[in-house]
Amino acid sequence: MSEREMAVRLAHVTRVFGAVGETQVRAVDDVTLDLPRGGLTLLMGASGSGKTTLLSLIGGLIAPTAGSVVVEDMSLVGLGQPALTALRLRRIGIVFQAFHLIDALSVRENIELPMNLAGVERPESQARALQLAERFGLHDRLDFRPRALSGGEKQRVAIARALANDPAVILADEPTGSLDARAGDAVIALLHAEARQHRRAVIVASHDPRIAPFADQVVRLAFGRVDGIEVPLR
Amino acid sequence: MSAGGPRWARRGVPLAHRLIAFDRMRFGITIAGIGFAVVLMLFLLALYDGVRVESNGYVAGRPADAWVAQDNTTNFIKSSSFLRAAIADTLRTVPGVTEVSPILRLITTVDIGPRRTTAIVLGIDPASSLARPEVVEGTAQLQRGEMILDRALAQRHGARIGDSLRAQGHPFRLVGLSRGTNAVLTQLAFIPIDDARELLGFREVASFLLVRGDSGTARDTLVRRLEGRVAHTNVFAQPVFAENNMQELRGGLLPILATVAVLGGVVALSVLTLLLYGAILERREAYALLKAIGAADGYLARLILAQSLAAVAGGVLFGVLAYLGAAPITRQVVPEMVLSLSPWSLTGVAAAALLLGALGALVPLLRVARIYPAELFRA
Ligand SMILES: Nc1ncnc2c1ncn2[C@@H]1O[C@H](COP(=O)(O)OP(=O)(O)O)[C@@H](O)[C@H]1O
Ligand SMILES: [Mg+2]
Repeated sequence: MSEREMAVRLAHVTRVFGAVGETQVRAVDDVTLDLPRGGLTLLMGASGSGKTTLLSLIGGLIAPTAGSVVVEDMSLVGLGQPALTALRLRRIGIVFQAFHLIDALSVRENIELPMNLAGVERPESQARALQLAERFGLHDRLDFRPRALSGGEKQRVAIARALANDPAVILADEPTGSLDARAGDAVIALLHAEARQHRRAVIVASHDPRIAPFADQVVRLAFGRVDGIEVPLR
Repeated sequence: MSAGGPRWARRGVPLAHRLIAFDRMRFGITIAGIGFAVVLMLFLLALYDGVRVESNGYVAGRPADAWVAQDNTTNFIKSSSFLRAAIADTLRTVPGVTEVSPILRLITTVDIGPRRTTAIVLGIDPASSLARPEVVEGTAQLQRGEMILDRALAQRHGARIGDSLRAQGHPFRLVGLSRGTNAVLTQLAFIPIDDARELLGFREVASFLLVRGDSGTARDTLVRRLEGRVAHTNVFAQPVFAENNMQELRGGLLPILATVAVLGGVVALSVLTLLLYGAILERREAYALLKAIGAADGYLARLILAQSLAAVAGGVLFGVLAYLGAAPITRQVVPEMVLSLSPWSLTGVAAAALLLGALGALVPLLRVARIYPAELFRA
């Protein structure tokens, strides 16, 4: 794959938490990694191996202690908070294990919100929310409040929200962690389809080996380091 | 949903609105808290404004051109001015003077049935229109042995026209109720000046002289002519004396009202800050999420300010309605409480509320700055 196909490029990225001493943790330790568009990358590793920290670094939610993070040809190192925020708004969608839908808003409004933040006004944002909802089988849930949804539905709403501004990169942290097996499979299939059909770089962090068959590459993390990269057989 | 509806609703998800609706119990309590502070401020302002109309009404409403008082007396309410009655005759000879009318001021007991109160009793010349108060019921024409009483004092003690009263132990018949004669802490009563002199025990005495000039003489000219005409007197143009009296009336009241108003404002600000702070901590996840999905700082600031201003607007509405409901009842229960709210005061309360809303958003905004989107990964 050529360099231009890489949505995320990490070079010697290290993130240290805590003060020098016994409590200091190298959550991510000298990671160098390229993550392509059009594919689903699975970050696998035991709990505490640094998966979430790595996603946070790619999303610009935390800054690396050392090394460089490049997303969509933009180096995040040295970018100010407003620039990082703007980058997340337009280029990066994030999906969480705990969904984090805003319970005061309807399903439609949750999906619309990132578009409104990006300056898309109604009724355009409503139309696109409807379109995403239809794609994810949520069209009859549009006026529901999140609390009225099943876990699988909540995660599909969260994915629709992450896709609202048509991002190049999707970061998903344990997206199946709160779901039963069937709902989890459906969510992973959705993310995989997004990667393939819309040429996004989908990066999923999980310790769940059942996801591996859906991945285009599996990056194994251990103690903050890359322990191996595999392309699973299908 | 159609493309219709108001423009604000078409622009995007009304998040502030939704958050308020979702938290309506908390917002309701806050609106009530701010509302009570607003009621308090409205009452204080209405009292302050009421003094201008009701407490200073008598002095400000005199159809005279000048007041003559004893040397060093500057106002009506807080003074013990005494003049020789004969000075009136001297002043009548001043060119341009058409009328001089004496007022004798006593502070004494007034017995209404079994109830005793005190009042400022003014002895006035029944034949002159200069000193006569504005009467809302009964007559302004006093005969010997008759009295006009401030309407609030009369209402307070249940006095009616025709009742027999006593002033300093002497019997009077109530013939009129006046307005503009209620100085909150004390009220005015009127009797013929000859009766007042008998109560006082000195015949040749007055407290103030009201002077009217002819139409051809400018007020300032008249005042200049009166000044120095009689030794140990102070001469004031009517508006100057009225303004002096107003300053005295309000001067005592202002620091108290201002202190209570500021305390009310502080309470309202605390309530508001507490609301928003609590609401933000409870919705911490939502604010972290907004940051994670790319909401700019300006958006978050507007979101919090909108909630703050909505609470304040609700509080002001609540406060004004509560005031409008409570003011008539207050006038019934405490007639001496002079309430009159000017548009300026209402504008002032609205401006203070706006400031309150901005200040109330401050601490919560600082709190939001310390919510980090990476928190969301901790399930
Ligand atoms: N904010 C933080 N402060 C201190 N230590 C942290 C913080 N975030 C993560 N860590 C530590 O970094 C290591 C990696 O954590 P994490 O990236 O969450 O792992 P994973 O997602 O693979 O379970 C863990 O030892 C964790 O305790
Ligand atoms: Mg994790």
